Amino acid sequence: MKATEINKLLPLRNASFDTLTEALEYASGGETGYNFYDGRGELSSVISYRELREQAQTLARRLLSLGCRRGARVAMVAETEPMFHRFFFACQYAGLIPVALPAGFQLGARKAYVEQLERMLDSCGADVAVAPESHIGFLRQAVERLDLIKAGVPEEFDLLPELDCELEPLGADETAYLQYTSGSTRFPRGVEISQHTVMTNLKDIAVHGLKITEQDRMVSWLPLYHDMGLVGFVLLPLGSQLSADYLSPRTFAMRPRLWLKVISQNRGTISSSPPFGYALCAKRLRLTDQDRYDLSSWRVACVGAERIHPEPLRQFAHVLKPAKFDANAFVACYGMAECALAISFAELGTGIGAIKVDKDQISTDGVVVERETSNEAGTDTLTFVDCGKILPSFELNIRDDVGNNLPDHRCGRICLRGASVMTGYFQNPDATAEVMDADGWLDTGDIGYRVGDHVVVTARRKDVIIVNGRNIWPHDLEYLAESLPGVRFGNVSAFSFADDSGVDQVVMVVESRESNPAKVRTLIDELRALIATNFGISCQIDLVPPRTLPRTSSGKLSRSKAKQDFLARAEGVGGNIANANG
Amino acid sequence: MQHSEVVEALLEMLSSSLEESRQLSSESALIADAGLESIQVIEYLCEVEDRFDLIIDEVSLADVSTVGELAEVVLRLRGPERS
Repeated sequence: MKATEINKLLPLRNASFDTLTEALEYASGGETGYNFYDGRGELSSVISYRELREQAQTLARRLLSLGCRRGARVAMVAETEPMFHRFFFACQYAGLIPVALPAGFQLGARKAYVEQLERMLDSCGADVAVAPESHIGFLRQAVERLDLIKAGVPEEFDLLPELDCELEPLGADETAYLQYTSGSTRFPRGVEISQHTVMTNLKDIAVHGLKITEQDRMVSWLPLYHDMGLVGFVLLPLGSQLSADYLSPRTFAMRPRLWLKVISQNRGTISSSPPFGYALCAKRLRLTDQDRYDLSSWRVACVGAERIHPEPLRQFAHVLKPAKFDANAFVACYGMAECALAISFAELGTGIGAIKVDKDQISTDGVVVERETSNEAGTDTLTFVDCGKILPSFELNIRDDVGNNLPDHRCGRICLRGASVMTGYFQNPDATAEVMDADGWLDTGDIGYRVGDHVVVTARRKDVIIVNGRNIWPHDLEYLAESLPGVRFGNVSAFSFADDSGVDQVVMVVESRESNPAKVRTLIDELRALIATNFGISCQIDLVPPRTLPRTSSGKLSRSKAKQDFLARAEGVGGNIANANG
Repeated sequence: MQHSEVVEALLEMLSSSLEESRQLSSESALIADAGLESIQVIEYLCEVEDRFDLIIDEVSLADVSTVGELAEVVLRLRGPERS
């Protein structure tokens, strides 16, 4: 077996297509494609765009034999395997809508995972679902109570007869896919992206963001059910006829150095990660590794998906300097599934541009005053990263709480409009109306400021908790806690705060009448264990007397005030609450 | 290899990957009792795979909570005793 090479045959077309199938038709005239590496870093399968086109068309005819109507949803558990690509593009040819389902794994989490699959299948109204052999048990359990036409492993679909028909691929105005990256696991919302939207974003990224050439080759370990994995490393290479090399997220988590090995041996030029991926990799490197790799080909190392802290990146660049990693290859970027993928990229070849701003000014009135230096302890400034120029298909507004536009250097909600913005949340007009207005403006929920057409993100998704690259919705944590006897509904508030090293610490404040110290201890232990098992994170529990949590005049808990109060309490006891549960 | 031997090896590896020492047994839950966080779980499993020379699949893990259950998976994946 041999991995596909870089594009030496086709004149480069940077995503100048109306639909994904047009992009595949063009790419199939060349010799590039997708390469899959196993848990030991060995090449395990290869599928060229030419083979993909052929196999996807055959599979499209088989799917059509099931009698699904046009636009029906086909859900696929998105393991990093060629079957995902085959089913995704079969849907494109058959006029069906693909939906990637998570393939994550957690110890002892069968029940939680099956329920998550069931809720997503239900939310998108899937008619068909497919999972690789490894995950089919979970999928079969998840569909038990649902009314699907068919659920099975790929081999079962390969036994279906091919419908004798002219294929009518999804057109430019039709939906390209649904994406469940964003939102709570309990109330999943499928981001609906049309062909026109995704092609616009791909073109913006290829031409303006990454300036892709025939010499490029992409390498990724990102999950295919995330926007960065799917759009960035399945659709983008296709749109620009590049070869792409994959490791599974699990392989990366277990053996992060294989990421460097594949980039090094295949001369990868573009590879991205959330900040935690660089940190994990740096942590696992051994001194003797440094000159085993040649990372000089790696020209774009995007950093996105959460607020960027420069320090772990500096560390990564430092330890890999002997392997010829160029710190200027780091490219800060900003994006979200609601905009297909990308919103802005920092200028290529300039590295991470850290900006120091006055802490008092930004915290009290949201005014950004840049500072050259900070005091000795560094406590009077905050550091942010310039996420670069907004891609040309977007209009940017920074708005205050009542919707007024703010000028440069003023913090507010980041709002966007343009051809890369989603259609809405699938069959969920209420959730859509919460974030999009009648004029097509999307309120990202992120906080930041602008400097001309550059955007600086200062806080992502007001409430979302990010641990090791995973988004956790506070509602989900609170709901879980409320399931324990002794915890009353609506008396819990979960949030996170960044500790001194910029790492998110998760806190849950729980009101309780319990005063017996032994019972208090038991309740805290139970809560911690429950959250650890279900979310795989450690959470600090702050038990407080009833009526401590701040409520708005309508009786709603105020999460931001609860966090302020907690931090004040922590300060009051010399910061010891932060370790009280250890 | 006996179940008890695997448990012993697993506990030994577990205690070396934890920062603080805890009283753990075959019945201890890896996450709830031992307090492993998600990244540590992966690091730990990676060590387990290397130590016993096997690849642990997702399906098996979904039903594993305790050290003893992990030992059963290890024994099953190792297959019949090799000499």
